Amino acid sequence: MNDERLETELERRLAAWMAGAAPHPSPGFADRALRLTATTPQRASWTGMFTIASALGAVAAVALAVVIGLQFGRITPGPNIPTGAVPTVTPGPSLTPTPSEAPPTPSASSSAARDFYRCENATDGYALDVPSDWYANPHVEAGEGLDDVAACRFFGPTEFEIAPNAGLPDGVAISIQLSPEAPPAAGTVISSTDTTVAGRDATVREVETTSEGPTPPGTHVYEYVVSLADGRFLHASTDSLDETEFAERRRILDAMMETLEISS
Amino acid sequence: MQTELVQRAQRGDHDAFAALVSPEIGRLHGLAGLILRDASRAEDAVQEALLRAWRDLPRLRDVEKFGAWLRKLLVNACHDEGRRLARRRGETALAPGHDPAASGDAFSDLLERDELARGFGGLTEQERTVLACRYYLDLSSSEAAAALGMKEATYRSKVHRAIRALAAALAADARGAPRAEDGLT
Repeated sequence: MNDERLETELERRLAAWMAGAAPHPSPGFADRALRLTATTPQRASWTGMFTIASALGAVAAVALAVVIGLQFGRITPGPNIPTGAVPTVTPGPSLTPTPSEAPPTPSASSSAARDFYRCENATDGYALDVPSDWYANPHVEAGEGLDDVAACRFFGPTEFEIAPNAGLPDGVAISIQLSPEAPPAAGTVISSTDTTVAGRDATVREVETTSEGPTPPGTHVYEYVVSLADGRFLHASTDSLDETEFAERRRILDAMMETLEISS
Repeated sequence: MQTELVQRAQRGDHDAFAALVSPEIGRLHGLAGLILRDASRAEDAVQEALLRAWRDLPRLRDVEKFGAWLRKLLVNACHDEGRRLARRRGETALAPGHDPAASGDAFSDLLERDELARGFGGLTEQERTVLACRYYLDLSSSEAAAALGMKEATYRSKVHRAIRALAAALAADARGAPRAEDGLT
């Protein structure tokens, strides 16, 4: 028998064996499992979240327009708007502000039009949603002398493979790492805003690199630095030289960080 | 019918969710059992996948993909469960170091009975996952690739490599060679 026929025979045996060997759940398991889900609250839909974000963004835009109008005399408040009664928006923990602009609004290519799946990094103690058409790295076991790579640290729209201690492959668009020190800005800071992510103090900033490093000079970097309870920092970042790609990656990183949960 | 159930469940109708997933629980548990080689941990993984599915269902936009999405949640839950087990046992990997007999359930005993079971059990967790999606769930390459979050070509390649690895394990078993897990404590 040649190799192909041997493999075909093995596939047939394997299918038959699996049909008989796969275990059955214990009696009552389905009922128990569904009783537990019945007591678990559902999360808000993306549509709802973005509707709220868009509404708050619109309010913020109106507020900004009123402030500008008052400042430069181009518009005046109407009779029903008392001078100085300018609405303000304070983003809560579930909303991630983007520096110098309103919260993200949905578009055909934005995160609002995507499905997401939950990605859990049990090693570092966090979980977040990832667009369903993006890839996330699995846990990678390293050999002797190398470092394991925890799951859900690298994300990208094309498939990639992470090898321990071997640098990042091209397909990675967003990366997350934990560090004992807050990472300094790797270039000129274009904008920086203090905010709250997953209930923790955080900074979100945009930087343009000025010298040759992991990325060429002029690369725009968008990053979150989140203070963790144990004193470490969670650093989530994306970058690109291409404006359109950078804007898309930035939207996705914003959407992912909105869903971040930290258990450590 | 399924689409309507998914939409109702998305709006918080738990009866619709139960009607949607109940017929699948046996198959999901079978898949988890083959991946994890442990029936009780398989229940933990299925429970976790169902919880995630119910909790995150309002965020699923393409309701037609509910089945693939649920399988992906289960595979992720299995990997999480596998890592938890590996940590508890002070190992860096579930497979091939995982010794199902140590968990002492009837399914684990069954797995040790014949050479095919031993060969399958000696594969890596990812190899068991791709083979179980193909030969237990009988998914097409595109369905299985979607459940595993990889490209179809990559999935096919991984199935091929897993079959080769299984054939090699069976050959080694026939020659009486020690399995990788025999050397681990």
